[in-house]
Parts: sequence; C-alpha cells; structure tokens
Amino acid sequence: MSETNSLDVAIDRILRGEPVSDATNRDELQVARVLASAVSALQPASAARERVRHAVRERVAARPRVWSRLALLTMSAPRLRVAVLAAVLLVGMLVGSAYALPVLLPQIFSMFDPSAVELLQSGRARELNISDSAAGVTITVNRAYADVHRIVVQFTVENPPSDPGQPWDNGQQAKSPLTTGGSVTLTDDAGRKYGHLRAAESPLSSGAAWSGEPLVGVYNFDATRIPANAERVSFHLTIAELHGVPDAAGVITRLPGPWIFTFTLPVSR
Amino acid sequence: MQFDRVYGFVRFRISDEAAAEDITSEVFARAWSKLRDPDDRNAAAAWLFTTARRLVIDHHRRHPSTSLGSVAEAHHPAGPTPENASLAHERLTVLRRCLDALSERERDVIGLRFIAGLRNREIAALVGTTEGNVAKILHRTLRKLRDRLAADGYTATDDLGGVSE
Repeated sequence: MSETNSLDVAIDRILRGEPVSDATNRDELQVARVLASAVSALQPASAARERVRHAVRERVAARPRVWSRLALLTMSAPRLRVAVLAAVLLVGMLVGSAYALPVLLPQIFSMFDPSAVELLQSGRARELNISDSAAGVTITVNRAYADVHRIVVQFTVENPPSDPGQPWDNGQQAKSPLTTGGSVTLTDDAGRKYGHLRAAESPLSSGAAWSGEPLVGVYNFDATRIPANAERVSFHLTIAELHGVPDAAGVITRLPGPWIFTFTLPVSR
Repeated sequence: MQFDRVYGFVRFRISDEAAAEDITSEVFARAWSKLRDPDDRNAAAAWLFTTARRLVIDHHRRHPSTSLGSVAEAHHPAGPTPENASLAHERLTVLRRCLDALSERERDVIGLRFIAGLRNREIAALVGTTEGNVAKILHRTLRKLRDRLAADGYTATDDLGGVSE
C-alpha cells in the first residue's frame, strides 16, 4: 500500500473514532486527529440551525418561481442527453421553419417555458427596445406582451461590468454570475402590482463558472389584476439592483439601480 | 445529515458565524429551486458543496481583509460535555490560525475531507482533479499544517490531540 493510500485509510479510521497505528505517517496523523477533533466545534447549535431554516424559507418565498428546477449540471446523463436533444430539435425546427423568427433567446428559456418563448418569438409581442442606464450599466427592455392571463417581458443587460474572474482549479478563471437577484417588479399607472408567475435569467446563477455573456431575463407576471375591460395598460418595470458585480478591485458587490422602464401594451383577449 | 456537513464546511472556511449562516441558507435556498432530484444523494452532495465553495470564494472576495484567524470565535455548545466542547473549540481556533498558510485549494480539500466527510474520489470530482492528486494534496497539506503548528510552538503530544498509538 502506498504512503498516500495508507494515510487515507488511517484518516478514515480517525474519522470513525477508531485507534490508528501508522508509523510512516505519524506526523500527518497527529494533525488529522486535531482536525477530526475540531469537527464538533463546527456543528450548528440548535439556534443557528433554526435561524438558517428560517432564512431558507424566507429566501425561497422571496424568489420568483424560476424555471429552474432545471439544473442541467445535476441532471443524470440520460436526462441530460434528452434535454440537449430536445433543445437541438427545437432550434432545428425554428431554423427549418418557413417562419424563421428574428428573435433569438438562449436555448435554456425554451426548455423551461416554451410558451413564453413562443410568444416573444411569434411577433405578437410588442418590440420596445427602451433602455435605461444607472451606475454605468445599461439595461434594455427588448419586448413585452400582455393578455388577461400574463404579462411577459424580456430584458437584456447590455454592458455587464467586466469581471476578470478569480483563479480557480486547473488555471481556470471563474467569474461571478450576474443576476438581478429577483429584484424585478411590475406595476401600472394605477399602482397595481403584478406578482411573478415565473422568471428565468440566463446565464443561471447556479454556482457554476460563468463565461461572461450578457444577462438576459424573461419574466412572466400574473395579469389577473388587469381590469376586466382594459384595452391598454401603462406598465412600469423596475429592476432594483444587480448582484455579482465586480468593483475596480475585483470585489463582488451589489450594484444599486434602479433601472426603470415605462411602456404601454395592448391587452390581448 | 447534509445540512450539518454543509454548515460545518462553510463554518470551517469562514470564521464569521453570521456569514456562515447566511451562506448556508443561500446554498439550501438555491438547492430548493435548482435540484431536480434532491433524493439523489450523490448528485445533491456534489451540487451543495460546489455551490458552497463558490459562495465561500465570493465571500472572501467581498471581504478580502478578513483573514481566517482574525475574527473572534463564537462559542458553540458542541460536544458531549462542556470540557470537550471547549477543547474542540480551542483546537479549531488554533487550526484557523494555521489555515492562513494554505492555498484555497488546500483549505477546500482539508475541509471537504475532514469536516464534510467526503471521500477522496468525491473531492476529486468537486475540485476537478484526480483521486490520486487529492491524496497527494492531503498528505502535503497535513505536513504543512504540522510544520505550522510546530512553528507556533505546539508539539506532537500537547493538547492538540496527542498520540494515541
């Protein structure tokens, strides 16, 4: 047994609380015992456990329901293959169609709310292309659609702050995922607030390294508060802040907006 | 229990208790919406620790001046007796001072092996290297920690664990 294998076996025994005799790795095992004995100091106290549980509940409740029970990274291989195949087929159908559409969205959206993508790409959505800038960052609301069931809005962060990334394994540079953190709200001229039905941002802030492409968001709001006889509604979309923005020193911060957009949409019935 | 392992790992890497709680809650809030099959223990563990590592790094980038050993330790009522809890806490405090001498990857590997209780092959998948390389990193890091402890005046048989052979 090699020295490292022998050490690994001995570490397992230490972690199980069993006696170990290994003259070869004597010094290393003494440190291993110290580490193993420190574990109990790192266990959460009951109060800490309760605080974290409460915080998790609050965070989950505060987030828009994202298409995000997706987690490509966690899909098993067969599921991943099916998902990729579905995305390829979808793109193939779009490209091959006689009605090839100019609106291109990251494929990830098609996989989790195909009807919203269909709306945005069908020509039924109103092209807006209105921009607002704050703190040197410009966000454009590209297009939006409203009917009696939902309001769909697509926006793009045009010039995300450059992020050189941080050193990570095997020489990779990992960048911090940029996100609105769910700080997107929709109201109208009468002050009515429209709740999130679904929302997704690409790239997803999944914890994986991010390659740095611009952030695109597709948000889907509950339209049941639109008055029954309204033919047009003037909306106000507010993006309060961006998360994951590196400052000049490379420190990841929140960038306060707000970015505010006003637009009027016909209500399809 | 995954919660205890994730919390322990984050707490090992960040001495600020409130920040550790914040990061742990963020990990599980993301897991709630992202994990397709939380019952798949291997996939769930890999996802949880990958996310925890990324959030810990983000935290260190946001608080670059906070060294691992510079924050006052919060006391946990851990261990079966107050004496054991106190001893474990003291050892952790000493260890944290020594962790400053390690690279990010070395701290990760130590935390994932000893605190999270992952096997070398699981750690290898998380940090993107081979199982053999993880074993080498562990060996090298334990030796480095031993040297650092000795430089701080701790000997092989003092109250930092002693020799049980």
